[in-house]
Amino acid sequence: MQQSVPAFLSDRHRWLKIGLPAALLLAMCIYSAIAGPKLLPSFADYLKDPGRFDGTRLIVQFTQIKQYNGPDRFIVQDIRGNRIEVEGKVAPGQEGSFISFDAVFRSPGRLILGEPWHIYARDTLKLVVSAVALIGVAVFFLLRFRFNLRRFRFEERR
Amino acid sequence: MPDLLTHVLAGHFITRPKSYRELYFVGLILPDLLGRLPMVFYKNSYWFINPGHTPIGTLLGAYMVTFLFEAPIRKTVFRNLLLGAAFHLFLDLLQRHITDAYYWFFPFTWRTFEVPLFWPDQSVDALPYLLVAVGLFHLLHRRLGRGRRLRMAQSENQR
Repeated sequence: MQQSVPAFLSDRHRWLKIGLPAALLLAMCIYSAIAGPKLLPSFADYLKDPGRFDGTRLIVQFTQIKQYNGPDRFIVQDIRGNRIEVEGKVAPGQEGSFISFDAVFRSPGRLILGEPWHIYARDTLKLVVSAVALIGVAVFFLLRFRFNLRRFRFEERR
Repeated sequence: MPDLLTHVLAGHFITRPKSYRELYFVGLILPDLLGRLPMVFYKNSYWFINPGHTPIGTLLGAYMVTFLFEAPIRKTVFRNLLLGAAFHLFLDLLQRHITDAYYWFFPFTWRTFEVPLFWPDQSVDALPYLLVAVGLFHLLHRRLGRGRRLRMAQSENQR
């Protein structure tokens, strides 16, 4: 389908039109990487100076339940591999599931489970169905377009 | 985030652009491609890639992707990508979080809000119903389209 090309989408200064938003996006990513962790400190930050943070409330997000140490104690692991014991009762048999919860940090390295908390069930299934959708969309797209490496753009298949 | 299949299936009910529909479906998964997919390979990248899942980050991403297409179709490509991405972000708005919700106004502010209707993992429960609904939708669409074509052919014959 042929149509008029608005100036902001034309080929004039094409690389500048790609480079500028790319630089802006990169700057946003760097800013987020620096400022984000300060916004939501993790228990690993508290473990570096446990005495100072004793009694501090924090939100623990997307940590994995690694094992149960009795009916009301369990160990969680964050995405960096740091582990901590949590005091509190959650549904049993959830090893491997991800959990987010409100907690209070206790020195030298323990969390008291607070409300609210939520266990994210069927995380693997979610990944699998997402992969199915990703492949489906990719196939649907590639049936119509192919990438021309020389011109560095997608072209419609004839 | 709900799973990508929910995003794609739910996107059927809002709009299905007539031209370059493929790009609408790419748009439906674009925020997750930019701001979540790298986490599958490198979990520590969460804060770095997070802007890719914000409205401004998605807009910039869609704009850059648009230049990977021929100039004459870029307007449609850009519109379809944005349409899909906007619906993706709308669906994400309806999720419940214990931590902060998505940063809608990043990089201007970290303030955020949500309309907490469901937990991210609950989208998988809705998938069978969504699949049936999309199937019925397509069946009806095809039936209605066939009826419309028949009526048009009859009226042309009468003329």
